[in-house]
Amino acid sequence: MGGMLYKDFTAVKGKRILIILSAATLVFLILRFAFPGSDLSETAKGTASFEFSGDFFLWALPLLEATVFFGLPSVLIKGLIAQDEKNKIMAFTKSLPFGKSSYIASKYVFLGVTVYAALSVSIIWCEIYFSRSGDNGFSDIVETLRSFLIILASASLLISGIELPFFLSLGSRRAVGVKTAVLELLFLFVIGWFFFGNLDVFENLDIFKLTEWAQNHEFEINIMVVLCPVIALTLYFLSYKLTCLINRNREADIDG
Amino acid sequence: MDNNQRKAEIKSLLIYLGITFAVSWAMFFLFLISGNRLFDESGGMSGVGNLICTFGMLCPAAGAIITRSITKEGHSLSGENSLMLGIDLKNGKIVFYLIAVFLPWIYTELGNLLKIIIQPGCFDREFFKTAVSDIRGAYMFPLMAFVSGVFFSIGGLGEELGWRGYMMPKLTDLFGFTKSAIIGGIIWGIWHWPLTYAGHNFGTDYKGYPWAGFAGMVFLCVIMGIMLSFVTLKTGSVWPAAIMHAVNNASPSILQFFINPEKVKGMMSNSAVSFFIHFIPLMIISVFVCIAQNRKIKSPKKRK
Repeated sequence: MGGMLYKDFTAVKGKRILIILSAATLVFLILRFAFPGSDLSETAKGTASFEFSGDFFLWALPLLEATVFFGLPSVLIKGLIAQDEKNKIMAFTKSLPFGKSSYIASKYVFLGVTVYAALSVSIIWCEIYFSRSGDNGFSDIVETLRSFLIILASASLLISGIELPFFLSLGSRRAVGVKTAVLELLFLFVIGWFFFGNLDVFENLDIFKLTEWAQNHEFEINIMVVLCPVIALTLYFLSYKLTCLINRNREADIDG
Repeated sequence: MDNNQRKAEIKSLLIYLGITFAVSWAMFFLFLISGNRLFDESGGMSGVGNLICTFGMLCPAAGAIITRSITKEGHSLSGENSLMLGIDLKNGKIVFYLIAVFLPWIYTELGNLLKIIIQPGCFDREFFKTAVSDIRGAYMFPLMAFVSGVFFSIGGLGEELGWRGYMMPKLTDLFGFTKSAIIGGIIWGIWHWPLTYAGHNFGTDYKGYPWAGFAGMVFLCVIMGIMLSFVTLKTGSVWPAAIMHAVNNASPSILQFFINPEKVKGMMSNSAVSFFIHFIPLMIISVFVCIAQNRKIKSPKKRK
């Protein structure tokens, strides 16, 4: 298993990804120290920021976190499976004594480690943010975001658990096709909602109220923080079992 | 172990300790002399203080990785003389993962119970209101600590990759389990001293500052180090130690929400004394572990 993980790490150019993440952390650290503080001011229609650092960090931190939680695992899944197909690794592992289930397990473990790494990097970014934030309204928002990190990680794990069976059973080309179709449908739904839906929710979006809500519902958020990873890990494990089952049945069909 | 191997082990250890102490202490001293404080006016950990602790916790891992490059020991993830990052739950090893998650709750709760037994006056039914909005938050806290311990274990992993993953196997080869756990604990405790001086764990307003704090930190690191080395030895992985370290740092206890520090009087109002009482249950557990381990492993030669 260790060898398979190392092979995957090399296949997706893991060292390069680590260097990029480290560089992003360093840049974030420098910017944080160059632009300390930052606060948001409340307007009649919600919030507005008047400082560069307020604007920058309002978008940079969630954007960076969304990228590592949802972009990174998704790109890695495609890269991993495509590389293995190119090098005929799946066919090769079938001939090895540990069989295909270990091959599938290694992919699930690799993605699990990726989500753990994403969570760890996000924690460090939050710490960097707080190191020079001062005590203000924007800090409350980032504090709320920090309490949601485990929920974000659970969602990321869940999405990987949905994507992996497709990639491992259909192959990267067909799985990308399915994924693109689903994303296009989702995009059409969002566009449709923008045209015909009720957009009052955006007009009345008040980030302060959201923070206030989070502070008043501490217990409910804590329940979510405890339950989300448990549910996500259980479903992730079931996804692994399902992928093994699909592949075993397929092998039986081919043998038959 | 022959003399050459012994010399090589000692040399690697010294390189590791040199790098880890140099990098982390340089950072800690820069933090201190730049006028930054570990705590803000409200008494909570300051932002920079938190950041310096997070980066400090990653230094032992960096030290181990750099030393492995220098000594050409390689960076294999699992197996003998590896980074010990493999996870194997088979052959009853899952029990030690469960111990890693739940044991900190047991000894922290027992430590707080001991404080209440020694000084019943500090028990305050309403004190939880200062920390959580409703009582359910207090009851829920240990569960939160388990989850955050497992998922936010990067700091714990950073330390454990170095102390338990690199230093302890070498010390155990040289001195056996008990002696190595004590020596390793002392080294680990000394490593914390700049932060202890800055007020970490004890504050700065206690009788005997900073020496009582230094001694308290070494005491904790020795007894905690025994448990962390034990779970690492039993599983061949640093993960349970990282999880246990992180859960311990999250201080999983319900009773802490009912101990009012303002009602604590006499000797126990000294944070170093209170700290010692708090960890007596862990000390008892660690002594039992040492005795049990010594029965199994009489000496490193016999183990071989």
